[in-house]
Amino acid sequence: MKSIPRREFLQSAAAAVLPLPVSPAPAKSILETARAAEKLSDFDVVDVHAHIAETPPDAIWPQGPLALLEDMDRCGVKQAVFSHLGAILSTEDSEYLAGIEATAQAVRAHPARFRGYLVFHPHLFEASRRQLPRLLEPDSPFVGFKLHGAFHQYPADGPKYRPVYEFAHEHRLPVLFHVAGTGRDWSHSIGAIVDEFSRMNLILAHMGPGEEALPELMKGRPNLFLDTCLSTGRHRLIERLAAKLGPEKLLFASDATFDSLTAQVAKIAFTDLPESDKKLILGGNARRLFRLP
Amino acid sequence: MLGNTLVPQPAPLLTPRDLLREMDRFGIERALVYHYHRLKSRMNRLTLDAAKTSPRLVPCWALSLTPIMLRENIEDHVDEMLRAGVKAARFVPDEGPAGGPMTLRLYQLEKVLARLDHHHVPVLIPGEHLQTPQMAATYGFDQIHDICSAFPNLPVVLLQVRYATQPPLLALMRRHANLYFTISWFGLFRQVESFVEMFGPERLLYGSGLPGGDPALGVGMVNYGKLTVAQKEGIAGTNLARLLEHVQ
Repeated sequence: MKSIPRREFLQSAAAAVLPLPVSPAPAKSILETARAAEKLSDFDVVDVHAHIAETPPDAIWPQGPLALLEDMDRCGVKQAVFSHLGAILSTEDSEYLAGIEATAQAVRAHPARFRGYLVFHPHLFEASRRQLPRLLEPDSPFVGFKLHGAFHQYPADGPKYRPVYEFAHEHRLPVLFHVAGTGRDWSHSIGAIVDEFSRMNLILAHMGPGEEALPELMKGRPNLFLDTCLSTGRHRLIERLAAKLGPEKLLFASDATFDSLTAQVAKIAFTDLPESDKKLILGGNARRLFRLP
Repeated sequence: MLGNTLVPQPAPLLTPRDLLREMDRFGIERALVYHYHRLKSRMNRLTLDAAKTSPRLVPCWALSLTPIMLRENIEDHVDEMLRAGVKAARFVPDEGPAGGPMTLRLYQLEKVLARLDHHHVPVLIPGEHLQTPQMAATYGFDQIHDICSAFPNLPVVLLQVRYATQPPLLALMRRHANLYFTISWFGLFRQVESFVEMFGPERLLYGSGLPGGDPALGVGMVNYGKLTVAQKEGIAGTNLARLLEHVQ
């Protein structure tokens, strides 16, 4: 019989009785790590709102998947769920489908780092609807839907979004919704939508309708969440939202490669919140919601 | 900024200790700071008092641009500022019925700007509203262009410009070597890195925007940015230090 070293035996025996695998605590807290300008790779950081795009190599922004990965690595972000800006901004079915395919290809090329959103484009309705079953394919690169009511200027309660809500409700899928912008805000209808489709988890992008309106909107709605990305930021806003809504309602998001990943990750890392809350916001909530391994 | 405002900030910083505590959290060593008060006669006195509490708080003179006294000359406040040893000024709007919105018309400001220019005093101008509808009632890039053109040696620092200002900001940065800006809300993907590549790092400055803005955004852009150590050090502090050194 092969002998087992005593230390190895004790470790394996201990692991058998402990409820969770024990990993050594990081030497530094999240705040200390960020303040030292060190990457956050000792922590589980998942970005639930990212983008890729096809752009010339010298474009100021946005950028493709490799630039996104490079900044994720520099900051210590483990995984990102992204959509393709080409699919969101497309005016033709072919452009839309090319964006969807580029999403799938990027996920297949970097399966440990990326998952994709299936963009649903209400003005390219039939092409979008035909894509819905892709979320159910084995090893699908897609883990949820991305709706951009702001760019598309399409109301949240418009009939063309209903197939998405029904599908997401039936299969308990997340939907990331950029619901306000370009002078329009359809947040007022979100409450009724998440109440009707109660098994759909809806994430309001960019903190939705803003600090004042959120407590009322989110109260008693377990399937409604916020992502934290915004190109501007107010002092202690994340702390106030965590206090009013609960840290389990907030998901770290960067909007990179549209917005700056470096700024957005620091926004959470530097918050004056307990370490456990930061871990939920940075990654724990996303892992649960997206069922990421 | 220290102190209370007419419409309170959600998370105000009322004392130097409050500000220093937040600076510690974000790893900010020193800050240009002014103390707000609705009476301009008290505002700068409170700023100087705050600066005396810590060498980490560097006073910034608040210049309110609307004369509200019968025989007031705004440019005289620059002399008072220099006598107090202060090396940076910022324009602040007057509150109250005599004030009105801040407009930055050159014919209104040329004497005060000339005085600042003469002493190479960097002038900080709020830029948060640029490219928003509020610009129509106050000032915009046209006024910034006028100021930079009329006083090409005056360091003009736009505070907390938004990403959407990129087209006019880009054009003005190309025209005016005396235009600077703080990066915290310049938040597109690698937007700061792109501007560093185009203009060098010297005209980009870190500004926390406290207590209105979130200091973390700019800290993250510097700490995690695709920049060299020298570029990061410049944006984080040495660029501003150089401007203050040149004040005569």
